[in-house]
Amino acid sequence: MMDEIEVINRILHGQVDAFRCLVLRYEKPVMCLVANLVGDIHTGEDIAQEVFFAAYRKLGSYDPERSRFSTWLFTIARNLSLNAMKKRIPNVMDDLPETIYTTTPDDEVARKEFFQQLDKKLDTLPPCQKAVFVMAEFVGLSYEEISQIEDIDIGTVRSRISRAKAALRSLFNQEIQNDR
Amino acid sequence: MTDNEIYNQWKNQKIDIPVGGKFTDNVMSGIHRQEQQRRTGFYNRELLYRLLSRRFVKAALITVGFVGGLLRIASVIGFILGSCMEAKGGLIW
Repeated sequence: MMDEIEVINRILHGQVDAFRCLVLRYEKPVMCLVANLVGDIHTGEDIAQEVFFAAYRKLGSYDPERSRFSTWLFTIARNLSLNAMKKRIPNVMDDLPETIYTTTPDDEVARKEFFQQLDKKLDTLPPCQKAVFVMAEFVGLSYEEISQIEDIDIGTVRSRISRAKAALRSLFNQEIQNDR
Repeated sequence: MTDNEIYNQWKNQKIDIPVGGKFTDNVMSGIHRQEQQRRTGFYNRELLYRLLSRRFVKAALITVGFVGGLLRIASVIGFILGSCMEAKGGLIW
C-alpha cells in the first residue's frame, strides 16, 4: 500500500484516480461509523459517499502536521452524520415493547429481539455520547484519536463511553430482573 | 450465554456493516463528475478573463460605467433641484 501522504500529494497534483486508494482503505470504517450513527445502512451509504466527496473537495486544506488523515476523515464523517441525525425524524422509543422480554436471549429469536432493543437504546443516547461510543467500540479508534475528533479531553471521552455502556448495561439488568 | 458474549455478538454485528459492492466505483464516478464541473467552471472563468482582456470589451465596460455614473449624477442633481424648487414654492405659497 502506498503511503497516505504520497497518495494525497498525487491527488493534489491532479491524479484523481489515486483517490480510489483512500476510498478502498477507509470505506469500511467510515461506513461503520456513519451507518451506526444514523442507524440505517442505506442512509449511511449515502452519507459515507458524501464524506468522501467532501474529503476530496477539502483535501487541499488537510494539514498532515495537525492530524492523521484518518482523524481528519473521521471528523468529516462524524460531522456529516450528526447533521443527518439532527434532520432525521426521531423514531426512538416509539416501538419499544412494553415488557422487556421474558426469556434469556439464548435462542435466535430472543437474541434478535434483544439486539433490536440494544439498537434502540443506542439510538436514545445523546448524539455526542453515541458518537464517542460508536467510534470507540465499533470503529475501534483510540481514545486519543476520538478526543481529537470530538475536540474534548480524554477524560471526557472515557466518561462518555462509560455512561453509554451503563445505559446499555441497564438492558441486561432488566433482562436479569425479568428472568427471576 | 453470558452478558459479555451477547454484548460481543451484538458488537460484532455492528462492526460488520456491509459496504455495497459498487461503493468505490460510485464514489469515484462522483469525484470525476465533481472534477468535470470544477474544470468547466474554471474554463468559464478563463473565458471571462479572456473577454475582459480585450480592448473593445474594456472600452464598452468603461463607457457603460461612465454613462451610468453621469445618469446617476444627473438624477441626484435633479432630485436636489426639485426639492429646492418645492421648498421655494412652498414659502411663496
